[in-house]
Amino acid sequence: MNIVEIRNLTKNYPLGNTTVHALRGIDMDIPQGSLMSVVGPSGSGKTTLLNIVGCVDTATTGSVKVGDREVTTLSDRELTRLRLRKIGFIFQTFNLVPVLSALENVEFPLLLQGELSAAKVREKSRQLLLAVGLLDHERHKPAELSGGQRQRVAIARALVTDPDLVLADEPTANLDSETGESILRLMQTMNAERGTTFIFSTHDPQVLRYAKSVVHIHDGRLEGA
Amino acid sequence: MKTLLFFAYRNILRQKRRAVLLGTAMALGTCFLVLASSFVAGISQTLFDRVMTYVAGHTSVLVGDRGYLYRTALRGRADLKERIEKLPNVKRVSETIGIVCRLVGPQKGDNGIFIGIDLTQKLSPAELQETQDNFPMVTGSFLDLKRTDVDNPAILAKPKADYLGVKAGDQLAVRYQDSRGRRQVTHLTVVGLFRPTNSFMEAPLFVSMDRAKILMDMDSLDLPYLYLTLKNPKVNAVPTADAIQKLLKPRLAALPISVVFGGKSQAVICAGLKSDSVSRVRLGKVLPLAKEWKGNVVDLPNSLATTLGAKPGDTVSVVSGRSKAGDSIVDRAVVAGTWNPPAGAEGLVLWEEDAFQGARSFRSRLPGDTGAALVQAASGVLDSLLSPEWTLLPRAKSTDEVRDQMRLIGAREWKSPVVAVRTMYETGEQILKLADALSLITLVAVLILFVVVLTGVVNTLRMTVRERTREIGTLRSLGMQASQVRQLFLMETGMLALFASLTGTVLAGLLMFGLSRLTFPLEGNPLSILLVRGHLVFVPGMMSTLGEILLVVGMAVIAAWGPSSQASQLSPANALRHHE
Ligand SMILES: Nc1ncnc2c1ncn2[C@@H]1O[C@H](COP(=O)(O)OP(=O)(O)O)[C@@H](O)[C@H]1O
Ligand SMILES: [Mg+2]
Repeated sequence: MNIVEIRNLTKNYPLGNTTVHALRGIDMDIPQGSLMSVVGPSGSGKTTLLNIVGCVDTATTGSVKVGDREVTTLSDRELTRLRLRKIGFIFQTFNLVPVLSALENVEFPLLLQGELSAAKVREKSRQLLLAVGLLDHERHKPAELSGGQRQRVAIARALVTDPDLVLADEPTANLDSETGESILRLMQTMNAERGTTFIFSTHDPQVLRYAKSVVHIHDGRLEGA
Repeated sequence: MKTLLFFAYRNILRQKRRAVLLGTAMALGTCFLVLASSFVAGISQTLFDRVMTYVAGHTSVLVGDRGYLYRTALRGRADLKERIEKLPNVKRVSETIGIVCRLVGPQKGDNGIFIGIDLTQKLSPAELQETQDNFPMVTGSFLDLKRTDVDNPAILAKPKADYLGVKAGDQLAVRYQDSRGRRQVTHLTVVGLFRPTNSFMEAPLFVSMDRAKILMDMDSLDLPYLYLTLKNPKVNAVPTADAIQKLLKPRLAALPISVVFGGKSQAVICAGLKSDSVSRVRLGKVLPLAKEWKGNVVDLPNSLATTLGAKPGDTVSVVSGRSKAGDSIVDRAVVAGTWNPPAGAEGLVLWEEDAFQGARSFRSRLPGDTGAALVQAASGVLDSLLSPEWTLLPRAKSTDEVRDQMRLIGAREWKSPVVAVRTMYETGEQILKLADALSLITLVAVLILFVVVLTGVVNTLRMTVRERTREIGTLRSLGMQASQVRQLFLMETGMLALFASLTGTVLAGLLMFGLSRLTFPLEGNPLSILLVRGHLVFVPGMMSTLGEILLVVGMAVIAAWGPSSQASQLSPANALRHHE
């Protein structure tokens, strides 16, 4: 079963008087349980593609289905709700909330969902921190953690709501290669253990070996797919 | 909601310098606002509870004999004071006598006002203290006014005494007109001197109220001016005045007299009958008279005319009682006609109004009720031709109307006493305007504060939103709704404003405590009237302070609305791409 189905997707950005064609007709299916990498040089459209799949941006034309749901026609409210329930994000710059501790950062999406009791939220968030190996840093603020540690917390935050899909936009670009690879190994583990679908983008062909499948993007088009 | 509140709370001190700066501005603003409004409330309390009480009373009853407002007595109606005292919201009814007089000392003469002080009144310790503070004694004490070992004990201002050339123990001559309009000269004994706290306080010459009444030729049955102190005067002054107005509806005047003719004397009740030209025309229709109703004339009931053997044209003696000195008051009146009084009014003598009211005024110890029912019984026939106990002026609505009324009282020839009910709103408009002007201070404070909060909050929040754009994108991608983003920023600003205004309130409290402990000199201080015993008075109100805190928080939240909405409308994708 496909968690994501994309048909004829284009995305244009107006830029002054001209139009930037960031995506020029993308077709792809992503089966559940994938660990897929989107590879391409800077400016090729990786972020744009991941943002549209992650429902933080909207398509110009074409169709995008996430978990059987056509998302191109949804309102901002509905897209937000979809993100809250089904999608996790990992960012190149980690994007942890600086005023919250590691544990509080992980708890935050669950608290936003507002379904579990405070104790359950805490318990579940601790489990995730344990899984990424940072339970002993739960009280630390992001500023007190290294880059790799921050990205681990971000992974815990992305997974705490048990999403169907986790999108990671160049998760290793701000890390040294050793740390970057440990992050990818962690994603591998999570994919294997929890069956969560991961899509990560990268411009570094070095890390492709961690993906189960790879698509190449160039100038807004997929190559050899 | 709880999550957002917690998050907002964490965010407040994120940019410490900025938050402290904005918070300090809001705290100082709140402090100023609370201070200003408490000060205005304090002044307003001073004005209403102190100044007004002395100057005009919250509500007052003015009485004047036949239009002379300085002949302040309503004969025989002291009972009205008790009835006014029983009205709701009346705290105290003070009798007041204040008469312009000429003081003649061994060296010089000067004008003054002699004022009767009610020494029987029970003063609270605070009021007693206040009186002592307003009139600090150089020699003697106010209780010396009760002395009986000297003639007419009096207290006056030290500078006045120096000017006149008298000192404690000396005699002082005073010239004045009594309540019956007679010129009097009396000797007073100076028993005390006080130091005036401002130049207004140099004029009064105090004597005890009992003494003032005797000097004014009034007795305990007579009613002088009344000044009322009310509970919650702002609300109650006018309703109380209206209630008194109803209470003071005049009855018809009656006077027990004796008519003497041909060696015979008969005690009867007599009523006044109007004699102005309009009334005379109407009189001709209801009461046939042999002679014109003009000058000192009477109309005798047929029965009395028969008993005395008096005919129209005869001159009879009318004995209307005794004066203070014990002499009979005798008028010689011409019998203008005889009449047949209606049932219930048998034996009622009618007397020309002017002479009748004059006799009432000069009579000592006029009892209020005698004969009133008899006169009332005649009203079926004579109606509005009968002279009333007094003329009750309509309630003046403004200072201008009061001025017009005073002019009218002076211009017209009044045959009966005149009574007017006033409130501080008419008599003390100037003082009340001062109170209004002062509340402008609070308004200005609010405006300044609004500008500070508006610009401060808007600028600070714009900066914050710009700095946190990527974070807003992150939060949105984690599933935070646009409306929640707005709520978050509103909460942050609201909380900061709440903490700041609470701090400001505490600061204001400390400042008020400190300022009210300072003592300011009263002498030569034009603002001394606003001080209580040399201290500034702050009256912080629980509700008004709460209101002010709410106002500050409300203003901050309103100011934050724009930038917060902008933050909420950022597209998540663009926000995520944002680099500072
Ligand atoms: N908001 C935007 N406005 C205009 N052009 C944009 C915007 N976002 C991305 N682009 C352009 O779209 C193209 C694809 O960008 P992006 O998806 O960020 O590529 P990548 O992530 O592979 O570097 C680039 O040419 C970029 O300049
Ligand atoms: Mg990119």
